[in-house]
This record gives sequence, structure tokens and C-alpha cells, in this order.
Amino acid sequence: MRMPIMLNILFAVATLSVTQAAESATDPLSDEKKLVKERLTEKPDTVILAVDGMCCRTCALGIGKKACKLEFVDTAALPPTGVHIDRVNSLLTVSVKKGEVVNLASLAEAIRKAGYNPVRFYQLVEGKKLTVETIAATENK
Amino acid sequence: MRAGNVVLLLAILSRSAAADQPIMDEVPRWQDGYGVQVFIEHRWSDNLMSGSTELDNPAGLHENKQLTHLEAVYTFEPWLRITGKLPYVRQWRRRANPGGGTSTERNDGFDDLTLALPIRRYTNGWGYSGHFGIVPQIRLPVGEDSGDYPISDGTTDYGFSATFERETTVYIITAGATYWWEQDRCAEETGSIDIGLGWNFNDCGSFRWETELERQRGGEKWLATGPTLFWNFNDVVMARIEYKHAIDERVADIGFTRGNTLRVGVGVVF
Repeated sequence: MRMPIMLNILFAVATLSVTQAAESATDPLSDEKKLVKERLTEKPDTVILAVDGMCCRTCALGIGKKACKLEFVDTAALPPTGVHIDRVNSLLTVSVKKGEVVNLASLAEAIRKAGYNPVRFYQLVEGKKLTVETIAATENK
Repeated sequence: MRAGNVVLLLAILSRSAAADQPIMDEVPRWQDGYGVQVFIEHRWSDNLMSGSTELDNPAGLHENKQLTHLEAVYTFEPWLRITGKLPYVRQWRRRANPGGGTSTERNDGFDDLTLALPIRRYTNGWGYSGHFGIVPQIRLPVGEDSGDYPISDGTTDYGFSATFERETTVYIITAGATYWWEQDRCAEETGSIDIGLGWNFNDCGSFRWETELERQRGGEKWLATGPTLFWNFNDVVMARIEYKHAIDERVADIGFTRGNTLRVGVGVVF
């Protein structure tokens, strides 16, 4: 009686591992998406961008100085500029005012004016579904 | 590896202080960014030489310079900025009199104003950033050039630098080369190369080891190396302290070497 249960558990674990490995193999961004989803779930009034080149917080100070001038950015929720720079994962968290809609074009332009290239835009729809939007590389030139 | 090879390697990979630009050579990278910084630099030497031969100095002759560098920057676009540097110099030296004995000379005043136009091509990728750059420069003769112990040579000089930087979340490599064409017939044209190898140890700080080799056409040479600590206090204020220890020096005729250098600076950026 015990043997089939053990086999079932082993089978389930093996299936899960294979599924996760396959996901990682087919989606190189799976780790990034997982991290982003955790952060957006924790702070729903934010959006996250993956930004190429953002590996030094000091050099990237300008992102905050540019972003804080945008209407929809909530500087009070994430003082002083409404953004958080995660240089290790190249992720930029932007705090959004309640009821405001993110203007991705102007946010991407602010990042470019600071000298960096935004490549992906993440947000949670209805508080749980993660959506990702690729920002065209040509726009970064 | 022989010591000479190590020195040569450091020299080849060296980063030029002459190529350094405000603020701390790091920011502002953003469009319409601007800032000012003040650096206090102290150079001292009691090393009297003839060419590369050390001379006895029983009279305790020495030369000291304290420079207060006032520097400013404005960034038009991430690829184009303009910078200005104006040093205020306090210099004093104890020298041997032709008739015997020693005397102290001193002079205070502004040195020449250096304007530069750093042009950089940035490259961004996941987890790294860097640039290749060129920097045309001009040194305008606004400095104190009178007396027996002048600060400025009183001429307009032209300089050009090439710079390189590559940075990840962990390491930093910087390199640069600068050449100054001196218009004063008595002054020697100067070339320098520098390298910096560094470590971004957290969000606010980085530690670097920088080496600089400066040579004048007349034969004067200064090779120095030492640590640099950079700290970013917040989104506005940052500071830098650097020490350079002279490890190989030569003078053109008879005189003091440039000696060791300590620089402490603070900058604000908007």
C-alpha cells in the first residue's frame, strides 16, 4: 500500500522538476518574471522595468531625477524620486499614483534621457496576472 | 613577473587624472544634469633630483602645493557634456640661494581655467555599461603668471583625451590617455595614461586602485599608484578620497620631483 503512494509522490516531484526545467529552457526570463511577480504582488501600486546598463546606482541617479517629473509617478510612496534601482538584477521599480495610468512611452523616454535602455515593462493586471511588454530596441538608439 | 613588467603593465592600463571630469568622472549622465565639485589636493616632495639621480638634501629643501580645484559640469545629452576646472593654488618651497643659505618662496593665486567637451559613446547591456570617449580641452591663461615663482605659464594650451570605461555590478575598469600641447616655449608638452581597476562593493560605494603615468617631452616623469574610495551619500551629494604614491620619478634638469598626492573632494549634482 505504501509503495504506490511513494511512487506517486516521486512521479509528481519528477514531473514538477521537468516542467520547471522545460520552462527555464524555453523562457530565459523565467527567473526575472518570478522575481518581478513577487515584488509586484508585494507592492501592487508599482510597475517594473528591466533596464539595460543599470548596473551602478550612482550613474543611474538620473533615472529617478527624470522619472519624478512624470505625472503618474508617486514620489511620496517611494521617496525621494518615486523609483527604486535594483542594480544587481537591472530592475527599476516605479511607484504609480492610485488611479493613474502609466504612460509607457514617456517613462521609457525618461530612462533614455538618463542614458539607459529600457527593454521590458512588467505590470500586474487585476492584481494577479503578470503582463510583459517588450520595448523595441530600435527606440533605444 | 619582474617588478619592471608590473610597472609597465600598470602604466599601460593606467587611467588619467587629466582625463577625469566632474562629477567624480561618474555623473551627471542624464540630459540637462549639472553639478559642482570641490577637490582639495596636496602634493609634497623633498626629493631633490638631477634627471633620475637622487641628490643629497642636507638643507631640507622641499616643495609643497595645495590646490583647491573648483569644477563644474553641464550635460546636454548623455553623450555630450561641458566641464570647467579652475584651481586655486597655494605653493611654497624652500630653495638654496645662489650665494649660500636657504630661503622660502611662496605664491598664491588662481591657475589656468580648463574647459573640456567630453563626448561619449555609451554601450548598455544586461548587467554592464560602459563608454568610449574623446575629450577636446583648452586651457585658458587666466592664472597668476608674474614673479619668480609663477603659478601659470600664461599661455593658451590645447589638450585631447581618449577615455574608456566598462562597469558591471561588481567590477569597474577605466582607462584614459591625455596629451597637452603647450604653447609656452619653456614648458614641455605633456602626455599621460591612466588605469583604474575597481570594485562596486555596494549601492553607494566603490573602491578602486588607480595608476597614472605622466611624461613630459623634456624627460620629466611621474608614475604613481594608489587607492581611491568613492561614496555616494544620497541622490545629490557624493565624495571621493584618493592617494597616489610616487613610485618612479624623474626630473628634466635639477629640481624637486612631483611627489605624493592626496586628494579629497565633495560634489553635488542635480
